[in-house]
Amino acid sequence: MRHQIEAAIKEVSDVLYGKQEAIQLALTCIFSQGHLLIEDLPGMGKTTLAHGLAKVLGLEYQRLQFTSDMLPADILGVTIFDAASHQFKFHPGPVFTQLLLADEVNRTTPKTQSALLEAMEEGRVSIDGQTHQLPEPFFVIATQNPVTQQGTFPLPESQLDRFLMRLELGYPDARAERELLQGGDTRQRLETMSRVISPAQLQAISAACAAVKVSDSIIDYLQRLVAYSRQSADFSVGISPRGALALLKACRSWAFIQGRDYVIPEDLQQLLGPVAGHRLRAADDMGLAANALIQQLLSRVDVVA
Amino acid sequence: MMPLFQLTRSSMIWLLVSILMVMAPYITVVPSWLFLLALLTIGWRLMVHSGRWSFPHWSVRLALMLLVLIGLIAELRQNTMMVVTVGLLISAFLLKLTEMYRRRDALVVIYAAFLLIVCSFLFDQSIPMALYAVGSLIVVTASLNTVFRSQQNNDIWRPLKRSAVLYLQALPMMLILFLIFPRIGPLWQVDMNAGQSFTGLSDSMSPGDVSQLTRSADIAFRVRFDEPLPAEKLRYWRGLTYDQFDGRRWRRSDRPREADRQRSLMPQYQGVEGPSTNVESFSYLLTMEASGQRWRYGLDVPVNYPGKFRQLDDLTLQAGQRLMQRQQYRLMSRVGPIPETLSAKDVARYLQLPAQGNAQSRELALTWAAQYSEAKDVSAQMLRFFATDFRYTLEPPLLGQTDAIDQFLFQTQRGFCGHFASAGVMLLRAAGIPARVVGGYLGGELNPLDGALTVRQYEAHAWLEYWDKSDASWHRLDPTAVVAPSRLAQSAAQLFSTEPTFLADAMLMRNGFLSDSLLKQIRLRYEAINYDWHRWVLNFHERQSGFLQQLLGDISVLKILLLIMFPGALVLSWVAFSLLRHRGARKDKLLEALEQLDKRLITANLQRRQGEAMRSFFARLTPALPALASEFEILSRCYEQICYAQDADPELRRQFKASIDRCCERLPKLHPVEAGAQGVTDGT
Repeated sequence: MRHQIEAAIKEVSDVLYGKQEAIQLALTCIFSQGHLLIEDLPGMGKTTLAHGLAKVLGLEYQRLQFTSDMLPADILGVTIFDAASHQFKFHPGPVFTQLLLADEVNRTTPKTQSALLEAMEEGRVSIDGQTHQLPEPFFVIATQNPVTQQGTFPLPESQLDRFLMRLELGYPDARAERELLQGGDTRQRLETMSRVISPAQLQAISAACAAVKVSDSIIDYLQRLVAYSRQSADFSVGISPRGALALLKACRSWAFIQGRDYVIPEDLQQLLGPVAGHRLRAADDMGLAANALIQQLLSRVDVVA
Repeated sequence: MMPLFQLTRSSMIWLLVSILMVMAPYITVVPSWLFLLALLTIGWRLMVHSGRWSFPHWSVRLALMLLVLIGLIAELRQNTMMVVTVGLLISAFLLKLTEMYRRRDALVVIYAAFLLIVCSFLFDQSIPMALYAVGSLIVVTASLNTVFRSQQNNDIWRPLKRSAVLYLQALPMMLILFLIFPRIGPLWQVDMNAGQSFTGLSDSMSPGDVSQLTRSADIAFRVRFDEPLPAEKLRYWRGLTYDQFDGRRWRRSDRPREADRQRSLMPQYQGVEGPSTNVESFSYLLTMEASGQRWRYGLDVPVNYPGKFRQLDDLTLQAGQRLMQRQQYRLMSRVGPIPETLSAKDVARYLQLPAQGNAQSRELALTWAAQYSEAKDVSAQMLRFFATDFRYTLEPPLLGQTDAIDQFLFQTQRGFCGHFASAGVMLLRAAGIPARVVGGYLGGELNPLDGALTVRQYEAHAWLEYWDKSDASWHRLDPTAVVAPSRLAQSAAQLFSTEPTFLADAMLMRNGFLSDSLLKQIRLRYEAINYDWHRWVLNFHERQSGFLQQLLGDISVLKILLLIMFPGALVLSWVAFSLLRHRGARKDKLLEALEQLDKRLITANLQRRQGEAMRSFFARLTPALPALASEFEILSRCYEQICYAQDADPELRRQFKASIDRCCERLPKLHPVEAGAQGVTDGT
């Protein structure tokens, strides 16, 4: 199992240079059966990462570019009268897939956003009184532009909460960028990528991740972190119980990817930003908590009681 | 690394206000250079807060401390012990500001502020002071509140509101404790007023002394009668008697004897006196202000008095100690002649006169003695003599050193009560009638609002008593009554209002006394409240036992103590024990061992930072101490295995401990490093 994970990471880093950690985090998210939100400027490799992941996992995937004039039906599908059979027939939308790549999800209106996000939460779609089950597994990798950019509808907290993780890719370092510039066409390489992890293996990995040991002192540490985020005046909104659960789940997968069968405090510290960053609100400007605040939170709460 | 504690803005503001509020009541008490010190330290702390200066170097702090100590020692005198002690507390409180690095230091400052609030009651216990102290308490608690809130909060008033609400919530508990908590006598007593000067009567008197007292409106004592008040002309408050005369000054005899307890003072001699004498008894509660003297005032002849007093043979009350604090006691007095059988020795004592001097007066007395056989008649003749040409004034002409009484009786003929009393006694003694001067007060201002009688220094008075052998009783005789009958009938304030020296030391009071204006109304109202304050709050311990008895039946204070404190102590100790045990259990053996290592790393600022996990900690140490890299690897691995992988193998613990010991042994001598030089700041 381990070498498959390593192979998958290597395969994806062949198309996304110098982003080892981001790839590991993305896999962590998928092993924890959570949805992923990638937020960065255009051209940073968000789509490449999502594509690469779909390829190595061998999942059936759909890419959906969100625009401001999109309607829920464009995602979920429509019921059309079929003249031949004299019946209404449901035409499934792009959401009926194993891995949905929702590009620039904050470009569309809240109405359309919520249509997608309901599907994410429930794992099914209801149209015209009919409930349609989505395939198993079902992952959403959404990308979004920073909300400061023009023409964006920021996702409300309740919808951000549906994503297990939020990643920022950032610029590649100099060496990686050099490789990128020297290397060939990424798009072509993406096409030729092969499946490394089968759906059955993915299920097995997920089960193995869930079995990673969490000691009492880790639980204590997590509780202290959560309690501090709720009490501290630095945050207007602390980490919810769902956030704490998500953090623990992600930590297990992360520890597994790191080759451990137990969680250590560093795992929590590593994942607090990606998992809790979009669930915390800073007290002063009511925006999302900046990284510095999360670092401060970590430095205020000691690892041992 | 412990982050340097940065006070928030509101915390700084509230701390400053607290310091100023707490210091303010001491303005008149402690040496004023302490306030310069306050300005200096507050200023310095503000500069540190704004980031412009740094904390003073330890040598500067040491120098400041020594200077302050020297300054305080220089202030040390016999009667300033208390002030210097409080000054020491204040200066420690202020100097702590210059080393307020951590929250703990801020807490020390705040707790000292609480202590200073309490200490201010050593010097003043009035209502305004109590209200002020409540204000200070709220403010200091507000700053305590801000210290525990790390966040900048723009609402400056919020801590104040919070702390006010806190005190409101605590109010019922405070009242309950005030009512039922047993007052235990102090374990030691601080002589607060040692060396302080008092206004009032003293144990020797020359004729002009009493008029000096009319400059002062200080309260001598307050009285509240159970029944209707005695008539104005009966309000003679006995303080002490003078029986030794040296031609100019009167003194009380050196060996006062205790009164014979068997002697009945109750009016069984009424029949002998005839219908003219009026024997009445009154019972009352008297609150006496600090006088620095051992005698206690009482109406004419105290009959029942508290056991802590003793009654001398001149019927004055004497306590064991000088009165340095306000005292309250209950008395029963009667007015009227005092039966006493004088021995020959006593008669001689009350006839004592200097061998010579005042020849003219003696001659006059002898003519009276020849003329009348009865003491009653001689005294009546004397009053007639005074009633003719004498005038009563606050500013009598000065009398010479010798033959002062002759001078008064035959030349100036103007005087104050002291002149009349001393001349009267001299005349009576010369005529062979035992007599003594009595010092005390006459009158008292009735506060119509609460029925309390307030006697002030300007009502000081001197009269005389003579012993009539025909009925073997002392009789009061007040020459002032014939010279200035209005002194008895109306208040002293009205009588003296035209005299310029009256209340010369209290102009505000003078105006308040002399007019019937709003000012007077306010004054009376304030005095009534103040009287209740003393009775019900400051002296509550004197009536608490009665109150508790009413509440709990016949239960002693000791039993209450046991009842309240014993179970309380049990509960508290149980809580403390369980808390400590809980903490002890959580303290891991591994962490204890790790702390050993940690302590040795502090000098080089390599110790584990807050929030740093073990693996990162050892990873950071490895490049700094490459010699121990392998040990760090073992430590890191063992710790994770034990704590996180939940490996229960005792071998791992042994390895860990052994590795720690090896590390501590092989740790090279570490050189102190300036904080921050390591470049690790944990984003604080």
